[in-house]
Parts: sequence; C-alpha cells; structure tokens
Amino acid sequence: MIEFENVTKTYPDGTTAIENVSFSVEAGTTTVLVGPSGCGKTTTMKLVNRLEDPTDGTVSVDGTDNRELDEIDLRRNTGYVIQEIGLFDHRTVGENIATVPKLVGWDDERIDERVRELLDLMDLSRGFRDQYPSELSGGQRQRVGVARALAADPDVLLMDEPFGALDPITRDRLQNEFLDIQERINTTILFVTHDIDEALKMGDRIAIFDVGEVVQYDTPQAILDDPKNEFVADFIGEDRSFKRLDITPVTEVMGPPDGEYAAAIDGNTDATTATDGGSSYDGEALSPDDSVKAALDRLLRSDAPALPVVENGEVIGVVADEHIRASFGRRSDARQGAT
Amino acid sequence: MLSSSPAGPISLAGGYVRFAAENAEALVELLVEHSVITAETVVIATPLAIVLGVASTYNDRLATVVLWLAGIAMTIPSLALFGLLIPFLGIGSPPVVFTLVLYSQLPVIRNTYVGLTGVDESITEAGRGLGMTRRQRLRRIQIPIALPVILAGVRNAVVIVIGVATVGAYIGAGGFGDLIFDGIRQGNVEAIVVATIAVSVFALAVDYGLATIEQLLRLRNGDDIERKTSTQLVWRVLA
Ligand SMILES: Nc1ncnc2c1ncn2[C@@H]1O[C@H](COP(=O)(O)OP(=O)(O)OP(=O)(O)O)[C@@H](O)[C@H]1O
Ligand SMILES: [Mg+2]
Repeated sequence: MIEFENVTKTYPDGTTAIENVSFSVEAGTTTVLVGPSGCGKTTTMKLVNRLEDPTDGTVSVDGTDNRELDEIDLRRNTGYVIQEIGLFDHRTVGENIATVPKLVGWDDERIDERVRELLDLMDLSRGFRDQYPSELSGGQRQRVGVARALAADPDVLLMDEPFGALDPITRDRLQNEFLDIQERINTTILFVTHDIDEALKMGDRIAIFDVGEVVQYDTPQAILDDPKNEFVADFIGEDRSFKRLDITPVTEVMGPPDGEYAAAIDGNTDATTATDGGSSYDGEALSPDDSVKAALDRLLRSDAPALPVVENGEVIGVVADEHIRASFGRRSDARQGAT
Repeated sequence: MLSSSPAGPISLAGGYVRFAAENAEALVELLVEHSVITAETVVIATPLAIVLGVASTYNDRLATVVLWLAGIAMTIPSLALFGLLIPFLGIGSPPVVFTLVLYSQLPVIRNTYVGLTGVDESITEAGRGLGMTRRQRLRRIQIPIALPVILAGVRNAVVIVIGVATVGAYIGAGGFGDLIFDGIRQGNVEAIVVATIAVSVFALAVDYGLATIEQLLRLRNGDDIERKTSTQLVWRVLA
C-alpha cells in the first residue's frame, strides 16, 4: 500500500511539480495517474521509489515513511517501467530482464528460469533473449521494459506510460494482456498515462491531475458519473456515456432471466454461441465479461428485444434496452426523475 | 651537408628501399625500442587518465581543473620537459616515458569524461530506478557503454606518443629517432626519410589495430555500425 500525504515537490530550479497531493493505492490494486503533459505525473511516481524526495509531506509504503527505508532496497522491491523505456542497449534482452534478480543475488538457474517465464508472460519469443534491444520493434522494447520491471516479483510496480509510443492496435492488445497479467500477479500498481481511455480501462482508481494537483481521485465509474468540475468533464470528453458503457460489465445491469424477457431469449441460449471477449458477433448470447457497450452494440444489430447472458451454458441474466437506460438512472441522481 | 641528388622520383624511392633492406636488422631493433617506450607509456598513462576521467564525472569543478591542467601539459615543448626531468630521472627512457604519459592525459581523460557523461540519461535513470548503486551504474552501464569512446581517446594518445617518442632519442631513449638524429648529423637523407616513414607506418598500423578493437567493442554493445574489413574478419572468427 502506498500513501501520499500532503506531498509537495519543488525542484532545485524552483519548479513546483506537485503541490499538496494526497491519495493512496490499496495493496493489490491499480491506481492510474492521468493528466495533461507536465502536470507532475512522473514526479509523483519518482517520489514512491525515492528517485526524488518530497519537499514537504510524506510518502509511505506499507505504512513506513519511505525516507526511513534504504533507497536501494526500496528500488529493488519496486518494479519501475520508465517513461523512456531506458533499456540497456549494450546488454541482450535476457540480460536486461535479469537486471534486478542479478542485483539481489539470485542463482543463475533461478534467473534463467525466471527470464524464460517472463518472455512467455510478455508474449516475446524465446529467440529474443540473445538479441540486443536495438534489434526490436517499439512494442517489443516496451514489453521488455515491463518484463524487466516484473523480474524480481516486486511488491509495488510503477509504470510510466508503459504503452505510450505504440499504435492503437498494439496498445490495445498490450493493455488487455496486461489486465490478464495483473489478475495473476496481485501487485500494487501505480500507472501513469495521459490517455483517459487507458486510465478508465486499466485503473481500479484514477487520480486526475491538473497542473500540480489532484483534482479528483475516485473509481472510473464515479468519475464518469460525477465529474467534479469542468476540467475533469473536459478531460473525459463528450462521449462520457459511451465510456461508461465500455467499462461497465453486463452483469451489473442485467435483469433476472425469468422475467418478462424469458420468451424473447428462448432459443438463444446455446452456450456454444456465447463469446468471451465480445469481439465476435457469431452468437446472440453475451458472456459475463462483456461490457454494456458490447451488449448495446449487439442489441442494435439484432432483431431480438433482449439478449441472454450465458455463463457455463446457463442463462444468468438478460439485457434489454431498458436495463441499460435504467443503469444510468440508478447512478445519476439528476436523472432519477426522468427515467 | 645535404646532397641534392638530381635523380628522378623512381630512383629516389629505389634508394630508400635499398637503404631499408640493407639496414633491416637495425630497423627491427629500433622498432622494438620504439614499441617498448610506447607500450610502457600506454600501460601507465591509460589507467591514470581513466581514473582522473571517472573522478571528473563526480565533480564539475574537478573536471574543469583536470582538463585544464592536462591541456597545459600538452603545450610544454617536449625537449624542455626532457631537460627539466634529467636532473631527477637521468637520461634514457624514464624522462621520455614520463613526458609521454603527461601528453597522453588530455585525450584519454577527455574521452573518458565525455563517454561516461554522454550515456543516454534514460539508461542511467533506469539503472537508478532498478536499484543500482552509483558504483554499479558506473561499472555495469556507463563504463561498458563508454569503452569504445575511451578507446578512441587511447588511439589518439598513442599516435601522439609514437610521434613524440621520436624526439626522445635525443636524450638516449632509442627508437626510430636514433636514425633520424644520425641522419641529420651525417647528412644522410635516406636515413631520415626511411625512419620518418617507419614512424608513420608504425603509428598508422597501431591506430588501425585499435580502431578495429574499438569497432568490436561497439558491436559487442549492440551498436549498429559500418564495419571495417578487419572488423568483419575478426567478428566472423569470434562468432
Ligand atoms: N529534474 C527536474 N528539474 C526541474 N524541473 C523538473 C524536473 N523534472 C520535471 N520538472 C518539471 O516538473 C513539472 C512536472 O514534470 P513531470 O515530468 O512530472 O510531468 P509529467 O506529468 O510526467 O509530464 P509528461 O506527461 O510530459 O511526461 C514540469 O513542469 C517539468 O518541467
Ligand atoms: Mg512524465
């Protein structure tokens, strides 16, 4: 768990990068720092592993003020993906990944095994192991950067725009892969981006930065439902509702399977037609992982007034137009009367 | 007594070749002497200059002073330095090596400093973020990446050293300079020309050899470079 308490950082040249920032990252969750360029995201991140020390306030890791911790130990226990990737160009991919395990003195066999594991995890072919970073594509380099940060199983992971310099398709794929990895590794993650969509997708919680300060710190849903001020609303953009549909799982809006739509979904419940990721339209049934956006998309394409949500061959709910509409009403007090 | 022979260039060159052939044994001996002085200088000068260069990266003020002093050292005429050192070190190679060590400092210190501080900041910052100590960053990141640049400085120094070592013969250090001074005394142009060419060829050969090593270091660092023929050869043999 990471805690910022009234933290201010002024650089020696007089630039105040952040002022009076407070928030905390629960153990095992992901908090995303998002905001425009130069608002202090990288600075905030560097305060965690003491690449910078605060001018005022405290940053604590697992309840201890991090200035009381040995900075070298702290950094070795904190995975760090730096914004510029910063791979060691004179070392092979394998050596890059092995950096921290080597520093903390793992034996060769264990390092070897770990490197292989991470190449697999990051979907890098094992042939890359003996290649130099200059021989890799931008996306592959970013994966190596993430693998290097994960190598010694850190308790805390700091990721500074890890998917920054990628085309939208590769970025989307890496994000999805990383969401899977995240479920498996149970690490406390601080993730920086300037892309609000990435923040909404990756974060359990989001801290929105304006120049030097946190304007809103909340869950993605809460931020979409109730942007605190105009800056946040502007930052989210016009298509707030769509964004919310995208991050809400169908299971949150669906109605009971035996209700008024029981007849409409009859015959549509064949388990084999259910899709996992929501990217295929072969079947009419939804899977519990699908977003409400995917559900709406399929409702619009389908003749049926409602679609079943199927898990392991069993209908666990049903989604119709009204459920989606109602979910907005349920969350936004202002619209409660209208629905 | 400088003999101005009216002969054409061909017969001139023929004379030099004949001179070289007749004195082959002596030339080899002089080459050995010249090489020993050069090698002694490099062995002493390089570690000293690298230590000074590394130290300079820790402190800007120190860097300025060290580079300034090394620059001054290069401006002192070698003959004057030999004269000043003879009372302390005697004649022969010791005062010459001492002088050459001084002359070697600037290129190696400068390249060490530039090489170490020129390492991409994102790379050293990554090293810091991953928990490397300053020493570990120096040893595992900065020095390996800067090594080709440092070696380029050594190359530079060696060429200077081979040239200036010639003057050392004046105070009895030996080497190709002996032949040049003999030639001057006896008015033997052939001796002077052959010795001069020998010094140049020696310097170029050493320079080429070191340049090849420099390229191999760059390749080992994963750099993408245009390879010399010699580099391609060695790289292929090593691979
Ligand atoms: N080492 C430094 N010395 C002085 N000022 C700095 C330093 N590092 C950052 N700053 C300044 O602090 C402010 C915040 O910088 P920071 O790098 O934290 O922003 P950021 O949100 O990460 O921006 P970006 O999205 O462009 O990466 C900027 O005004 C920047 O110029
Ligand atoms: Mg940044």
